[in-house]
Amino acid sequence: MTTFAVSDSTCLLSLGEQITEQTAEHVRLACAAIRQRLGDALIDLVPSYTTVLIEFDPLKLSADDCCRRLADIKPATLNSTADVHASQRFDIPVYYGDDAAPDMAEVCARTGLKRADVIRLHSDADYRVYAIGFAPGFCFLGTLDPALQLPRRREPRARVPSGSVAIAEQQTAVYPLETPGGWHLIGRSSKDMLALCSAAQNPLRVGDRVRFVPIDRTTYLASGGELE
Amino acid sequence: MSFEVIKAGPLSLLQDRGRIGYQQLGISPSGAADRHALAWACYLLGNAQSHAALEITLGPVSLRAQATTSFALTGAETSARIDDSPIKPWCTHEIHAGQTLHLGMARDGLRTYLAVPGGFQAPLVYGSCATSVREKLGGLHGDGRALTAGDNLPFSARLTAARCVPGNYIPDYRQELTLRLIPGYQFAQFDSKDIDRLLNTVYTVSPQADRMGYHLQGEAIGQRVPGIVSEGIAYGAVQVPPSGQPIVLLSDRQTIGGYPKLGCIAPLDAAQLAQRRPGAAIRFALTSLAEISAERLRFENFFARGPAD
Repeated sequence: MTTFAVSDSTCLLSLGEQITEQTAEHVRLACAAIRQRLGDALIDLVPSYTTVLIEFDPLKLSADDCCRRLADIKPATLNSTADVHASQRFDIPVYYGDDAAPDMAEVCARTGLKRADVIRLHSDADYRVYAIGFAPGFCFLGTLDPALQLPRRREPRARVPSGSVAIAEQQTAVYPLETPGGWHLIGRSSKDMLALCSAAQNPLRVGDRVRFVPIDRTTYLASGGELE
Repeated sequence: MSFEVIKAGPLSLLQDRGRIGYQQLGISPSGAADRHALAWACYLLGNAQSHAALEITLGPVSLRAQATTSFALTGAETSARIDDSPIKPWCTHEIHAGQTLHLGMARDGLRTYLAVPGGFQAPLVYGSCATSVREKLGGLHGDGRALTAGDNLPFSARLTAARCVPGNYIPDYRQELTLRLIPGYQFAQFDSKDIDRLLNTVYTVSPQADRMGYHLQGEAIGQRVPGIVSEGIAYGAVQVPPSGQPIVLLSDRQTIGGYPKLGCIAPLDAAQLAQRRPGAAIRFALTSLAEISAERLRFENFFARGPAD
């Protein structure tokens, strides 16, 4: 059994121990299967790297019933699930200019890469959305090229401007709103990540793919981008 | 019709049951920190449980009524008065146009709930008007701001039946609180000495206690339990960071996190915790999912029915 009760209105489905692309795909497929199984008894889902937290209506379902209904959702059975959509790919335009990338010089110095190489390595990759959290619409994207991997900043910034494109360890992300943050800022995007995640049609979800597309300053500003 | 805010207090927030169904976007559920007091405030007026009320943290707050209406007060005791006349907490009252409702500093407890017939009217942001200051969502203006002097809180003024909450249902927020824990998540990774310490320590609420989570201070536990791959955090989850000092996660919690967790406390205990101040004494006890499920069903069914008269 891979589903455990967590409280009177939540249970947790576990799909593996390691963070891998395959597990991310299983999480995505499991979400679709859970929606189908629980119908209107489902209140919310919190997909993450290897798990899905399921919140259900305790007036419609007990925790044991919930676990039982989801008992056969396992990595082995998810591969053959036919009735779900393929994962989607989203293109996120990024302006990597110096006035939008306060940590670019430090990233270059610590990785030994030239600025153009940082941009190329960051924007050449196809990323998976491994989790959405920390802030509304904050998508944890992986896996970052090993050459770009750095620990988080020792001192987090008290405020990271919204739209900042950032890297830390094996992950990259766009800050959807101004928050504190400890990641390295290498660009800005005017794309509204929360709007992508909450779109009525084809929302961006855990397991989907993201690609960063370099744009110039004029295009960035014309698309509604802001600079301090 | 509205209440005009004369004095807003340090943290007065419109709250309802919270944002339901948006944690998958990374949006915190928010909603009333003390669902028990909110539920009674809605009940007293015959409101639906989804209606918005004002959650007043600490006070003092003064509101001028622009029309005659009933309202209800529950939660922390604040020596409330209408103009100069003291009024009873956990009851409905009538206020006349031009009169001012004054709430003092909370004496026992931390959060007072003010409800009006049909609830306060505010834009729905992701299905709720719950104010999430950190996320800049909800509230009177939809942007997560707390109430400020000069704001107007709109609602449909009307008179309702006079009601009070029976005395035996009114909690004493000064009492030592025992949080009943349903073992879950990484509970099995904590050794028996950790669990003994957890159950035999009187913790105190740390100064770092807010709508997001309550940090507790006492015997450190589980410092050898490793961090985990970030996973979804349920209401009332008890997480243990490397300091070994437990944190109970409440309405404004982050949706995912990577600290190991002992399980979840009963939702009604989490509501009582939100009424405690820094320094308050807290204990843990173990409970079963069956007991908590039965209690939750009784609670939801009672308030879903509403008053009989």
